[in-house]
Amino acid sequence: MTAHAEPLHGHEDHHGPPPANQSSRVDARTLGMLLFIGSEIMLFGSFFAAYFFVRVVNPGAPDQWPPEPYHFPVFVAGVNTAILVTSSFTMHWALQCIKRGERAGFLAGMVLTFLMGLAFLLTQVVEYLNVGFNTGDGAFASVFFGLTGLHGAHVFVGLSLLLMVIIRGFRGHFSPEHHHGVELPGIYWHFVDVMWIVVYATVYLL
Amino acid sequence: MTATHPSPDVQQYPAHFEPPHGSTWRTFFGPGLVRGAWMTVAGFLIGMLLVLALRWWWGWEPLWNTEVILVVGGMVLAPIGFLAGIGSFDYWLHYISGRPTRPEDHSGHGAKTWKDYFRVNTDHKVIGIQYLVTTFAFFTIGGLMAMFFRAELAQPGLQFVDSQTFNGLVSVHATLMIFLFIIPAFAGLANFAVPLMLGAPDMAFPRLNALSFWLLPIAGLMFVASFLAPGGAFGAGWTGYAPLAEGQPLGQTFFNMGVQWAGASSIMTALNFLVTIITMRAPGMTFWRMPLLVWANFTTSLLVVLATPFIAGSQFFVMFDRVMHTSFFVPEGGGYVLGYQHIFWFYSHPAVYIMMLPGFGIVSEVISSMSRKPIFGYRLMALSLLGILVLGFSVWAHHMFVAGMADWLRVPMMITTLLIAIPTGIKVFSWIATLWRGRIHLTTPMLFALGFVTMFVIGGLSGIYLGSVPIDIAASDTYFIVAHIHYVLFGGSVFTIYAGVYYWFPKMTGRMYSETLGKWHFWMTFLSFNATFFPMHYVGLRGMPRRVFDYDEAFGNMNLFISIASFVLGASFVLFVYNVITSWQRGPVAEANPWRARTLEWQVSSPPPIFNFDEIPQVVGGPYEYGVPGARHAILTPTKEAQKEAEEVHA
Repeated sequence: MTAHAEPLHGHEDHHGPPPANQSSRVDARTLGMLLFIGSEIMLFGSFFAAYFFVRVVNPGAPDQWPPEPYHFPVFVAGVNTAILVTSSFTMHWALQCIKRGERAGFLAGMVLTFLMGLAFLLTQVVEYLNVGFNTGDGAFASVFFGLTGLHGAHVFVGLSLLLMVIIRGFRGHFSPEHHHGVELPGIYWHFVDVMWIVVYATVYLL
Repeated sequence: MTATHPSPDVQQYPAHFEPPHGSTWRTFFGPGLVRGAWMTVAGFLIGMLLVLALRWWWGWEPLWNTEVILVVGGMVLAPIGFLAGIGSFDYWLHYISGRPTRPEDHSGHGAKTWKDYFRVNTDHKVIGIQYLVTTFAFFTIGGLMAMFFRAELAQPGLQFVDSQTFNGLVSVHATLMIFLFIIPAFAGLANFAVPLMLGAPDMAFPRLNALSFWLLPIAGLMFVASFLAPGGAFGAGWTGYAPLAEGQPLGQTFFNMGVQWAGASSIMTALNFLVTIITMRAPGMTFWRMPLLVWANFTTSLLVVLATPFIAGSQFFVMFDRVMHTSFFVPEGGGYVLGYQHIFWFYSHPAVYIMMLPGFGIVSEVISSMSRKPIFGYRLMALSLLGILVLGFSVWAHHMFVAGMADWLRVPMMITTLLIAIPTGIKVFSWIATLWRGRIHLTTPMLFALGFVTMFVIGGLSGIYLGSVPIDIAASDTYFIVAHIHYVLFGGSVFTIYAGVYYWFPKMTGRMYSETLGKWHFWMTFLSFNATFFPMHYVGLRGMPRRVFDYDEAFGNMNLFISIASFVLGASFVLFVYNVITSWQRGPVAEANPWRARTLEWQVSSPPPIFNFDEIPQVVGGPYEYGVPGARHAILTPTKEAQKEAEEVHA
């Protein structure tokens, strides 16, 4: 590496900002990601609120959920849940590997996580095509597509982040000292995973 | 780092690297407004083709659906194309592609010419000014709309516009003032002041900061452009209630999507403020030594991060109902109409505090330094902000007393609403106690701060009236509400924005504004503001409904008076603009600390050096210890210039 990578201090030759004081033990990027996730939880909260209004508060809510003659594919979505939960473990494994400097395990873990996430998303697309109702078929369909679709969009964002880690990983980036670029997408991926468990339990099981 | 894995997390180009030059190539393909323009068009076309292809694939008729194409092409992909074009994503795309990232050469930092304000700039001081100029531009547009519909309202009956245009003018006026003026103007002032006050060289995420600014003009243009849509601008009010909004013409979609961009902008800025305040305080700057402006932005940012997703949700639902034929709020499909108001107000009531708390911070700074006294009850001032934050989430349904919601919700919501008067009252009494026996300097920012305290008390009191269920039932949807919100948002928020702009004007521009013009501006605004909005209490209680283009003859004279006063109010803004422009060009050069204030931003030159501080200062005490013998807020290493001067004196 070249000399300019070093921060330039010195009173006579001052080209960059003074290094900021680190006033918290929390890393700024991790904190930013956690706050972002807090905001995302509230966004899901508004969708859950809509679900609550349609199914519980609404005086005309149907007795059966979903109303006759529709059915939610509980089993397929259950298998999908298992896939997504597993991918959280492989993600964790990948992160632990790069922390120990085991490149092969890191790359294998990332690729496995990505493939499982992709399988989840594709299964959801197939589920949408065969679910037997459409967005226009009533409020139950609105909240079904709303919650699962919002989650699907998050899986897509998560997959994009994972892909970014994979590209950089295969190009030889990340090391036991520098793995923030793995850790932050990892935190996001775990959030997407946990959120799915809540969505699955609410929409399909309850 | 071993030899087999030579690349660290961020690779860097050698020091002599220069991006390829060549003027034409650079103009079209280098980051900038030209690339932004053609990538906007490209984004729209990609969106359009995507929609057409999918509709053809599924065999949906008709192939051309204007609303869907507008949403996907015009309101999602075109803005993304614009942002990519001006270069907001360049660094991240480099990172994602795995290519070496460019070393930070600080070329995106600071502004040497006016052109640098039209670039993606990562300097918080430049972004602060970008925010302020943009928001005041939209303030002008929103104000002209207000004067237009005041002209319409000067006489009963229809004179100038049709009813849909009238509703559009009122709705766009409110939307611009809230989402494109008050909220982002505070973000702009804080963007400039907060890192300096904390003793930080910049915000925590400068690129994110630049991106959040550039989302703002997108949202604003979307709101204004809705007038061009067939059927006219969105006319369901800034509240956009369903099911009214779902039957509106195409313009409503501009509101649904514009709110998403404005909301994303404020969430990102708020996140940035929170991380900056938590992780980048100067050594010794404990939470209990932070200036109240920083405290105010800390609480506001928490509100923004947690509440704003709810308005995003509410507007998504309305858009889905309009575009995708869902039935979130369609009773025939099993939807629940009142759900909209619950979800909307769960954001929009906290939003009232998002539009107020930063103003509290500004006023605390101004009143303390202009009366040369420590702020009274500093800790309680900070804690009352947190009190408002918590209570603010528990009062949303007081907007729905007449909406037909569950009866049992009314009294709890009334009690929590009235409880908010306690932390707010603490603040008002603390300001008065700070003024008590102070050496008051009646400068323009101080006049606006005092104007704020008086006007906000009136707005707060009418708020307590409206918080009580019986009065609200009688006064709901009348001009009393219009009077109340303008006393809170104009007499409250806008006065504090003026106070903040005058207070930091010398710091931002390095020049002093004209005090005479400033005082004229204050008195003209203050008097015409009261002449405009005070009579609205009266006509409201007499029964004139809000959001109407026509009204009973009996209110004719009153409305004529209000309209004339509102034109004077509009004219007073011209004084402000003239003062700002001429002073910025050739006002007298400002000292580093014209107010002799203690907070850190006044301890550096005006305008501040490009990286704020040569060395991060050491904070040793509270920020408001005026008149306390021997008290200091911070110790700064003298700047290079000061050192040179000192050496010359010694030599």
